[in-house]
Amino acid sequence: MSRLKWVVLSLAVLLVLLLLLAPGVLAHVDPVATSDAHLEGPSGSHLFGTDLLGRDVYSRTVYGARPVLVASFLGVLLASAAGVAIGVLGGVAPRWINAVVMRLVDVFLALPVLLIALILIATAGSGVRSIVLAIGIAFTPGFARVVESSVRRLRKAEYVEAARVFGSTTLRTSWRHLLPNLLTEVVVLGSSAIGWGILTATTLSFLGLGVRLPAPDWGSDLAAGATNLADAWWLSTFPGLAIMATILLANFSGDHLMRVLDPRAGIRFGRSFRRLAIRLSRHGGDIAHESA
Amino acid sequence: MSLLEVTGLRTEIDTAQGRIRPVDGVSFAVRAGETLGVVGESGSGKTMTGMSIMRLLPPGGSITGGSIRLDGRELTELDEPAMRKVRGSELAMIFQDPMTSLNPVRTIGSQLREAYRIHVDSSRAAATARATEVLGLVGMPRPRERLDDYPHQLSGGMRQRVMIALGLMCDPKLLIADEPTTALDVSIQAQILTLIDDLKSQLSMGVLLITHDMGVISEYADRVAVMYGGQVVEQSGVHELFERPRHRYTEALLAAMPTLELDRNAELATIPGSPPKLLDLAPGCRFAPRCAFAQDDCRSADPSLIGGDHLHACFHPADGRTRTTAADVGVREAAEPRGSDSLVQLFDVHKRFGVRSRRPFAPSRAVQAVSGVTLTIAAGETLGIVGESGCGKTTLGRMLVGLERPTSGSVSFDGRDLSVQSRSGFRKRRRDLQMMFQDSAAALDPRMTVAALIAEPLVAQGVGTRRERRRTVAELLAAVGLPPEAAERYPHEFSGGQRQRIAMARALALRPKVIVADEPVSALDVSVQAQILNLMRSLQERYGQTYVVISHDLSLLKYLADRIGVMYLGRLVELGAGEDVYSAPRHPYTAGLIKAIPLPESAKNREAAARSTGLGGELPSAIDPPSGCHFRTRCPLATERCATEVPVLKPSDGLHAVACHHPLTTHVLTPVR
Repeated sequence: MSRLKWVVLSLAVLLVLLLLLAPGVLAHVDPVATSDAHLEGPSGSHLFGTDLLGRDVYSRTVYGARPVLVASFLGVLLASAAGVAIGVLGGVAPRWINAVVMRLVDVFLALPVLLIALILIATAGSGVRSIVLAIGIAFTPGFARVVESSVRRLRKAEYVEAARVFGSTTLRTSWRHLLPNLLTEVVVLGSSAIGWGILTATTLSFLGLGVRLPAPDWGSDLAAGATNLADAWWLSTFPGLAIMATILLANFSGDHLMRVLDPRAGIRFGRSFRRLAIRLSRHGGDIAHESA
Repeated sequence: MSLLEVTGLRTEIDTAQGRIRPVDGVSFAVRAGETLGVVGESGSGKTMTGMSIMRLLPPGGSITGGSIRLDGRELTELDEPAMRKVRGSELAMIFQDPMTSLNPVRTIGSQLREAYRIHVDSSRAAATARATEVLGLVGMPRPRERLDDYPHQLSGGMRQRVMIALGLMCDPKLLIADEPTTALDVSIQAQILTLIDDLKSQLSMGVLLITHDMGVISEYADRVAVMYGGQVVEQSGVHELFERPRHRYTEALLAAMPTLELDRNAELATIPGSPPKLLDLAPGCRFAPRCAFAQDDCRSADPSLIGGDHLHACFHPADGRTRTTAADVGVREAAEPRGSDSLVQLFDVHKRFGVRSRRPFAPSRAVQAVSGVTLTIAAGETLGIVGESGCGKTTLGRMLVGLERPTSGSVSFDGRDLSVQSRSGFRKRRRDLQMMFQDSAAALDPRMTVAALIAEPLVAQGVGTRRERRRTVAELLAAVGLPPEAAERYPHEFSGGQRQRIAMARALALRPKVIVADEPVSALDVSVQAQILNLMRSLQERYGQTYVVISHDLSLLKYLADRIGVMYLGRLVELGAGEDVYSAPRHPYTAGLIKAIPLPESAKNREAAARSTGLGGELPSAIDPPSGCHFRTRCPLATERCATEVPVLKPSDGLHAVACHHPLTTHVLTPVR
């Protein structure tokens, strides 16, 4: 792993953390405050220009990251947790349980995200929470299917059979052998899912189903700017670029994490991280065993 | 003049770790109508030598020096288009695995025609005629019909015949066969190698036979080049090499092989350490770090190949008179008579696997993996189970440790039937029944440290406190000959032999009464194999566990096992003391199996050991096995009774039992026809 990649990745992580926790450090102007500078192009005082009401586009782009990132991260976290649980269950359970669970998963896979979101918003109201739930529910089947097929493959691996030979319970085997070896796949899938999650969250906001104006949000700002695109290109362009950059970053860090997490790669950082993970799982494994 | 002359060939490969030199100044020659055997362990550069001649090097690889002359023409100077013309027409190569070397979605006819029409301007009809002719040449029954078959419709042996046919389409001058039979069963191996040998003299081509198997070399090569660490360390005629090996590596390699003649009480000679990595090599003999005879000059200077007809690169060669036999190296104490308490009983065990039919609505069919095995295993003995692939030996082993449940019949341990026990009771029983897997790389979780791996059975069974477990791990590591530091490392950081030691330690962790070892050394190099076999025996003396060793290798079992059971298509056909089964086989199948094994000894009297392959034909399908005796379709002694009546294993006391209507009685290996 080259030093440059580490530097780039660390800076990117720092940037994401700032966007999430302290956007005020990056932008000093209130994103909601209006001014007399209507539809001004990018300049020294307004880096990304201003919109119809004279709000600072740079500031709105910075503050607009939070709802998108939160919705995507939490949604994917929810989906991966549910998907791994369902997938492992489907993978180790007897054939008839597997059939029932996986056909249900197929049904959910056939539901469009938009439909799920509409139902949720109709019942729970619009806002980030509905988007998180929508992404969580919509992405679960994808995780579940990939995890289930991996579990089926891993169960035939000789080291899983070896665990059966010395009398490891199914619960313990799942915890000690299946989950750690699924980690890489889930991380890679998760990172690309975060990209999809960002797209989904912005799409929902774009359609007016997510964050409502005047609160800053990449999706709704993109939609608002679209009407003025002919004479004010900067309105939609900067939120759009921000969306692109974030998705690229998510995919890049996924590839990177995959290499770090593989013990065969022999990266020192990965090693201590792995030791920690193993210690945690070993502890958990003992508990799982005693309760079994 | 020689057909192929390779002089001072050097090949380098650029990798992320640095520059590797897998072929480092290799010279040899092959005459027309001659087989040169190139033998060596994995990483010795033998495959890369073949690939360099074909110029089929991996990315980053290039030939950096030396010359390759084929029929007087310099191949290293040819550009890629010219080389393409040579490949396939003058030079042909066959690979180890015929399944991956043939395109699964095209018929063999179209693949054969393609191989011909690339080089020869001919009509489709002419190409078809040629394909039929060549398929006939390689002994394919009804070649005309086979042209429309796809590779998966043929058995492994038949696919390898197609591969050979593919190589022969354009009448090559030289055939490079890289481990042509390693993926095949021993009886099929003999057929294929004999075929290559016949074709060689028939078509007067040169053959470069690349293999790790000294036995194959001894029977099918005319001259031998032994490779080690990217160099040829010894080269001579085959008789000469096996009678009087000069290089210490060759000598040690021959001593490390378990052969059928070897005294069971002798300990196998081992070569310590493992082969060198061909990266940043210091000057000096590459074998010196593992050589018992190495002196200071070996470590400072590179020995060069010297000595007329029998070339060797060694400063302190063997005197060339006698080979060090295993007996000189170390003698084990004579085995104590094993206890005769029966520990495991199998009674009429059957195992069926359902296979779904490809066509919709067709009835599903069953593969009869094991059909009616009755067997008693005594405490403290080593039972060997031998047979070809598909004979059910692995399924039998898996049923012994409870990885599969028998469809009918019973497996009982210590007098209790395993299949009727409760789940938790059975889980406890597993303490006594452990397994060693064939591929230790696959059987060890890559995400666990060695300490965690070895302790895992203890954790799973809730044995001991954390501190006690740590002590057990340290003790086991020492017992299998690994340093204490190994505990904190991951499996991928070890070599194949070391990984098998880790697997052994894990199998021993619960102090089981029985260890089932499925092909424990078949993935290892010969020099490392011996280390593991010695370890298995010494651990048995120390802990007294019973072994059930499953292998396709009869010579290995004869060395390791007290009793040998021979399986054929799901049935036990012969069972007896290792010595008896080998020296006086009573089942025609066993006799054929023994005859098919290529042995270094036969190099001495090759003419006497006439080339009659032991077994003709192939293993019938287990979905639809022959009626009566399963072996009758390949048996020279079969009569009508064999087709109607299933032979039972007699005598039932298990001393030397055979399931045959016409058992062999003579001590001669050739069945009376």
